[in-house]
Amino acid sequence: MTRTVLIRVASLVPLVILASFITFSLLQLTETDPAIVRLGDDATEEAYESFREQIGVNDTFVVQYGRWLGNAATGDLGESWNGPNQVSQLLKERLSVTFSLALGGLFVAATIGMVLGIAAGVRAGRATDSVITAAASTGQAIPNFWVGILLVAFVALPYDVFPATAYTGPTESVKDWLISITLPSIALGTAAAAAIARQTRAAFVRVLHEPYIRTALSVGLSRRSILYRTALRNASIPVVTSAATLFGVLLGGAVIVEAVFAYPGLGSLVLEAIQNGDLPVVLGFVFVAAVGVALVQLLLDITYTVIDPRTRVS
Amino acid sequence: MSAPEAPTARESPIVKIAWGLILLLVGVAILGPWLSPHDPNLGDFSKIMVGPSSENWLGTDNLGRDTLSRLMVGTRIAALAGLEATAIAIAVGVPIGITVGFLGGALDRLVMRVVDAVAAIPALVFAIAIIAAIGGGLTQAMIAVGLAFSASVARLARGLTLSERERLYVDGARVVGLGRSSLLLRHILPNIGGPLVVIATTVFAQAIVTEAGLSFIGLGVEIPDASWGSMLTNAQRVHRDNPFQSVPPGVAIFITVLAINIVGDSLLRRRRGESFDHPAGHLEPVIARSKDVDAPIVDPIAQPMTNLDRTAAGADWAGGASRVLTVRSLSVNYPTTTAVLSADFHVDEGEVVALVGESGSGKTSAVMAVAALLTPPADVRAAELSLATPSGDMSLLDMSRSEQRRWRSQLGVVFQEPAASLNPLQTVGRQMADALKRVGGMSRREISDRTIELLTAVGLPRPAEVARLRPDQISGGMAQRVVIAQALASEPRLLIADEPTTALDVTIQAEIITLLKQLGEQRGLAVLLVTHDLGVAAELADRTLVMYQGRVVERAPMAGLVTAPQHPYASELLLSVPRNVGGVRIEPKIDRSASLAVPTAGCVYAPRCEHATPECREREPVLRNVRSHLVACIHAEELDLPAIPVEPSAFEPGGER
Ligand code: SF4
Repeated sequence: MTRTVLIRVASLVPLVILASFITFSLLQLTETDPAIVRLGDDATEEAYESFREQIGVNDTFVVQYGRWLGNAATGDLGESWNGPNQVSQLLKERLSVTFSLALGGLFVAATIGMVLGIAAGVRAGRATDSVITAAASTGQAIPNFWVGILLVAFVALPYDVFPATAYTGPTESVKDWLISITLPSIALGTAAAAAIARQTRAAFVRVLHEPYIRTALSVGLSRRSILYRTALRNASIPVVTSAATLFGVLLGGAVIVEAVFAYPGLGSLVLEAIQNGDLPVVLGFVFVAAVGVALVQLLLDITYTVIDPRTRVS
Repeated sequence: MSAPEAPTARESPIVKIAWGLILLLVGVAILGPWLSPHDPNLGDFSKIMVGPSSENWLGTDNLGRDTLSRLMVGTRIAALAGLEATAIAIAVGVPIGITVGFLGGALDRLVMRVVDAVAAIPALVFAIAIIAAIGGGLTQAMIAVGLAFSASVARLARGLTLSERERLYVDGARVVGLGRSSLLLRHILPNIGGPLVVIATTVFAQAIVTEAGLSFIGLGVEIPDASWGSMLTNAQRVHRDNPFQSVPPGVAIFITVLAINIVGDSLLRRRRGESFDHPAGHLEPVIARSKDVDAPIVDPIAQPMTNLDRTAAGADWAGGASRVLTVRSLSVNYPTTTAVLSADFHVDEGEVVALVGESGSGKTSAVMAVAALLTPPADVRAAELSLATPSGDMSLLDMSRSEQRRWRSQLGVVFQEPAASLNPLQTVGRQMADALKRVGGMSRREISDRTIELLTAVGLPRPAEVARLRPDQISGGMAQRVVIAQALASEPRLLIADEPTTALDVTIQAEIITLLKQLGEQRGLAVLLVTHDLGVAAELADRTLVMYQGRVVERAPMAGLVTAPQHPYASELLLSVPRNVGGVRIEPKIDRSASLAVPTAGCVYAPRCEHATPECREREPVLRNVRSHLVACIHAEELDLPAIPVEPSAFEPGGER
């Protein structure tokens, strides 16, 4: 098991590094001058130059990236161009919101999606299946931030149960944290749940066409046992596999949904950074998102080896 | 098959409605500015945030601007945004995917690494990073979205190219000397065009949602332009006073995405051609229906059926052995083809009966019908389909699905693909235990003892060890032994073996044949064997039925068929078996290029038969007694067909067919 985990980590680390390299290169396209971002328009040329020298933007590209990566490995994502703040510090204050929403969304999506998908799968070809499939196809098209807007307009504001704008961190009060992420998680999770339901159902149907189902039938296994033991476990494999990608989608969605609820997450931080031309923050944001997705991928890979023993490395 | 076809009459009404909506949206996108009832950007301060009225159908916003008009103008922005982003994603992703997929090698690995890395960043996050690099605004935002999606497009295009290249390689197009680039253009592009259209619809739908999202947070369209996303930003400002304002733009996005998804799904379904019309798959096999005996398939002029049977079956049939399986007038039909037409056969205790014929001859359909394992849309009918069981005769006809379990417990089935026939996630022992539990009345201890006993009986060395392994950890030959052991779990009287050796190596084939032979003899099993390989049949079978295009064309004792085939097709099959004569392997020389189309009248074999006469094309031959074989050939008596005057053991099992 440890070996399996180590091998996964070893394949995810280069991926994240390469992703950071691509983003770093991409941000070189900009014409933003960090000196102007920090010192404004009316400083002297010497002051500009000494600032550029100080933060190292005069070095070659390779040297700059190497330094960034070296620091990133120790958790230091550099200094914001806009002020003397550490990027990692800025991100840390905001991380909790965005990741809470994305994970909450994944939770909503996974539970509702799996339940509906299984319900449709075990009754494949019958009325329940048709209703769920139709509902899921429809649900998949609902934009998550619009669900958020509707929830704010028609649930949060008229009734006094859920906050419309106040986020509480999990360290302050777990209960308030859960309450504050409930509506955004539903907003994020709706379309994703529909996607998971469809995927689960499709995986079920595919599995029911596999030869080993025929064998199970021929040796006399009951319908129940074929469905809930043989088919369910096999059908869950593709769903678990794609959940990391879904988490990425939800993380992107969270950036927008948190704006709906005016929660102070990574989204508002990065919007401000874009306005100010504060690129180290943007780079840090992408890096943190990629690391987050990779971590979820790792967790899912571990889950996956439990479900599918073939992937275990011995 | 390549271009997206317009909706056809076969499409469901929902798909038609979706097409209609898309056309409507295209119309509004083009004509919106002229159709809109008010100036979308001009506010009327006397009418701020009014509700829907005859003047303003969807009300007005916080600046008194008409919502419907803004929505219509927003349609154009959404459409343009979707088109731009999709065009960029395709223009960037497709060439990269096709090129690396086609060239392969180090370039492929390098580029795919980069693509994977980009895909590791959530698309929206990557789009935000691109906007940070190149600036905001609608066009920039759509370039960003397009680039963000290009990674997944490249990945898909590469996958399509790889499978297409594989197929070409198989077809041998490369050998013909086409240059690489012309090969690429002529074969690959048209074939992956269709799937790419499906991908494009997905990207388009996602791009519309992403545009709305980016505009909502202020990274897309610039104020005061109306985009569905920016309308939502506005609406949110006046939440408390006028919640209705958030509804129309969201509905517009939702309906658009839904329509595109529905059309995309229907295109995908049509491409895949996967018939999941019966989603329950193997779980809901068809019910065999009863019917009357067909019109004479056995020539009425010849002797009565039973006597014929006796003669054709050979002496030991009449010797009072007890009948295990009886099948009369079995037909299996599919919507467009007939897999089996009025087949009669039976198997006695301790007897091995082989159904032989090339693929598509209907032999597998026939035995799977007996095993009650055929799935819709197969239509199974028979006059009799019965098994003798210790508790009396049992008939499969009109048996409900739940009762079918009882039928299946009386027989064991061995399948063609042993590896695919076992649940990949469970150990052998676990699967054996499941099969044994079904038999009932055994403690856990007894079940594990019996597992070991059965695994030993099928010749697996170290059975306890094998029981702890999963299917992917054992060889195909071992897997087939496990499948046989599972089939024996319920101590059936009839064993059905469908091409049990086809997927195995030649040496393993011989072992499995020996095993089946032993088991049959030791346990007095009745065996119904399906094989395309007469060598295998000759090793195992007592009697044989030769099938061609769903018809039984000859039925004879195995030895009789091998030494003196009476039907030209049986003779062809015999000559196609590779043989060893004096240690020299003789490869068959058979030309199978002749037409395989089933003639509408006369003998089905006529298009391929070298003895065919005009009469053969008019009159359909029926089974009749010729030299103690049942033969469906008009000219059987006159023909002197070549056979192989050797013992069956001279056959080498595992011929190429
Ligand atoms: S009936 Fe005619 S065509 Fe058919 S097998 Fe006999 S000789 Fe050939």
